[in-house]
Amino acid sequence: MSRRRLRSHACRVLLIGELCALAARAEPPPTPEAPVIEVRGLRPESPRGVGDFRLRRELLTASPRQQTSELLSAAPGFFVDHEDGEGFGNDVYLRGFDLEHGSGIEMRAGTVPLNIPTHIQGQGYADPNLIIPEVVSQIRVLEGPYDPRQGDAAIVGSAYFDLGVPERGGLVRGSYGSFNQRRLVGIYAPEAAGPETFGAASFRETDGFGSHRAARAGTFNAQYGVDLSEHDHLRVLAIGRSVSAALPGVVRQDDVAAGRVGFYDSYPHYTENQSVRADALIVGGELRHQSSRGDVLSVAPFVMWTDFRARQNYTGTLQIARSDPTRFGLGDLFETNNRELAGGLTAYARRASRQLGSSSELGIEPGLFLRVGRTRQSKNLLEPEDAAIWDRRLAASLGTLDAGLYLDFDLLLWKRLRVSGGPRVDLLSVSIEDQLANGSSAATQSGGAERTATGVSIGPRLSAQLALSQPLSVIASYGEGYRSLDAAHLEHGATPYSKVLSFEVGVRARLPRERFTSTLAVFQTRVGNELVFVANNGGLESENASVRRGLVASIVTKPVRWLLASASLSVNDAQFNTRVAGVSHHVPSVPPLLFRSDVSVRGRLGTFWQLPLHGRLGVGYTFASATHLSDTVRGPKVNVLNVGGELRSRFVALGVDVYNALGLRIADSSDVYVSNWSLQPGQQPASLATHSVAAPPTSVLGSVTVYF
Amino acid sequence: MPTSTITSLLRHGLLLLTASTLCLACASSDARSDDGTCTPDDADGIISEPATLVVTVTDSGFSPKILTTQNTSDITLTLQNDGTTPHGFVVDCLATPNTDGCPLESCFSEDSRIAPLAPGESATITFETPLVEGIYTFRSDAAADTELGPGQFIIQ
Repeated sequence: MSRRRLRSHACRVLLIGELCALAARAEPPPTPEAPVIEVRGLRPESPRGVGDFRLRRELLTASPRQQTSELLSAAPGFFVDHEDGEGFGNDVYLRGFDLEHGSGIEMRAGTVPLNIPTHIQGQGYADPNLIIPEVVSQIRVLEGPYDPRQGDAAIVGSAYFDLGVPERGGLVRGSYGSFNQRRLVGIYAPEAAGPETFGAASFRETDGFGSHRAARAGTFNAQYGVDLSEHDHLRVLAIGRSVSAALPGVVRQDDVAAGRVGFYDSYPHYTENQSVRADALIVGGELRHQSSRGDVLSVAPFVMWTDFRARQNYTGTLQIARSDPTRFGLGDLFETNNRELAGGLTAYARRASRQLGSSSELGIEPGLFLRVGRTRQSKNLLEPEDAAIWDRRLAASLGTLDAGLYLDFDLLLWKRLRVSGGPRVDLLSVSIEDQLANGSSAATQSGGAERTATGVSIGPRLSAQLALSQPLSVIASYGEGYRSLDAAHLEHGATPYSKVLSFEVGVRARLPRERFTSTLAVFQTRVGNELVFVANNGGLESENASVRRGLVASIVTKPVRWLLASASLSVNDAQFNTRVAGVSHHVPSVPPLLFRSDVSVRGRLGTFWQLPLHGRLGVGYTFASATHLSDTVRGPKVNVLNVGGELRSRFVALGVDVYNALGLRIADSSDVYVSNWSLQPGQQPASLATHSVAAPPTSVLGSVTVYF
Repeated sequence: MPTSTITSLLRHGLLLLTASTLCLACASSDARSDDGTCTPDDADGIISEPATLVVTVTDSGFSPKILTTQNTSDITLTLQNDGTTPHGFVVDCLATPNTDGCPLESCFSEDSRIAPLAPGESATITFETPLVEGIYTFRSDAAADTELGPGQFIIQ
């Protein structure tokens, strides 16, 4: 069958109509987004595990993805929910984890680590939405802690965002859509500079799709890369972001079912002032020296300042003040604050692979990581009407240190067996100044206003890949990672981290030119301390060990240049032990089965005013089976269909994205606990119920982009 | 390597992986031990958080009407009678229906009972909350308090 006939046939199968017919008539040239940026400094590491993916721009834009965190859904096994609001990092589902606000995935923008190890919203909190999605050129996703370069928070893996703009010049993009949502993006990428140099700014505002959901965010990203000499390269990155959003709070399903409150509504009492506000300023740089033999020396310092405040009421009016037990029923509006100033660096010296005899090659890379932070945390109960504090639950200053060393080797034997990895050692130390110790602190009932916790985490990481033939490899990996514990709750002398042990075995089949890549892996991950949401405490609590076991399978295929399709299936079982001996539960909110698929077609459609006209159409579908909300209550299945398309001539592009195109009512989060929410004021009787926060209904967003 | 060999390897690899996954799933399905003892569920996995509670009772009811603590926690509770008649404090047992031969109800200890106090009086008691989580009911057991509204003692 000829290539053209094959393309036409595929189009008919996919029922994509006129767009395909047009594509079939024209030879597809490279689309504007096709080039892949090989940013200097991007490390060409060998694969570390079956789930080691480079997500190129074409795959990232295969279906509508509005925010940067949603781009991670392009990786097999990942699902990142689409949220209309701003401020919190999105929930990320991967390999049996529901990683609230990105906690549990190590993330980096360029060389800058984004995770905040001791954040009050969850250890390892990270919000990649401070990166403007249009400047993400590639993401390396590594599922599992199998690379010694992976540091704190790499519980289930890592996501490294490479920033760059392939198409030089400038663009201004304006978007408008449902719920009075508007977004303006401007990018300038000087023609004379390399693809890693750009300046970008975005502003987004929405009224929200229900009550108390208005949000606004302003972000800037700027990166400058310059060759200092033939062998030396400097790159500097600056990121700033300010976000504020109102929050609606939860609704009880029994109230929704009885028509007492709408799914997208908010209770009339004790819900005022729920909000989130987050500011961040990050500056990082990398100085690289590359010798004529290919050896690389890199030093990458960074400084980051983050300020976060959330106000949320989960339970109504159940709380009683711990500082004054005569105060109660004033509303369970928890305010959590986290302000941190941190700095550090990553550095490595990589020796290029050298021949060892006639049948082997060896590359070696020693490296170090340093992060020093100063954090101020507090948790208070506020009166909803005027945000006056009526009980203090936490007030602490934290000093954190993570000093890590690793040695990575990459040994290739007989051109078929690659063994990669090495040890990583991290010294972790936390000093705590607890202003509420010996009194009403919820954090430290054992007392001690000044405490320190220090420990050394030692973790080997190893991955072996045997090439059975040109397309097929068998890969086995083992890794021990770590995650900082909730510092404010640490007692004096405690170990400040939790261990992660993970292994996987799988196969990877790959045809040349990335026409077909398929993976299949079985895995097990054990985390020393599971983080579980406890509504009555206003956030996550640390429980005992958890174990995930499962399977991840994926296919990414690009049989012809204009068609890209991917699908992944994840099946897993996730259980954790509570602090109560002999009591274990399913990890809540983890879909035992997750299926994702993206299909996109793109190509030249013809000419428009004597300029080539390109088109792109993408569909993304996600199915998540019913999650365990508790051992006896399961949430609903989730079906999400997103559709988007774009037409572009040389200077102008018109796009439309539709999220949740099926119009299904989807909960962004659901939890089972006791509350006394009511449409009446005052302290009403409490009962057990499922509580939900709605995800956006069908949202349509149109955009106009002008290139210059 | 011939295509048939590759296909064969792939097929066997997939079978091996599938079998491995099934075994892992089997191993995980029986995570809880069953030694015959009754271990009640604990939804939030948290126990033993001491708390101090102050409850005021008047002729129209308790304040607060809802008390929330963890299970197996040491509680110091003060009852202040601001009413004009005697009022007490007692927590009713909670039905725990089951077919496992475990107890059919969970009760607070006798230490948690406060006999009816005269108007203006107060009493402070200490007790440990029960292991079984749930929403218990507390009330006054004074003879004249049959119409006095009860409260909820939530054990989490």
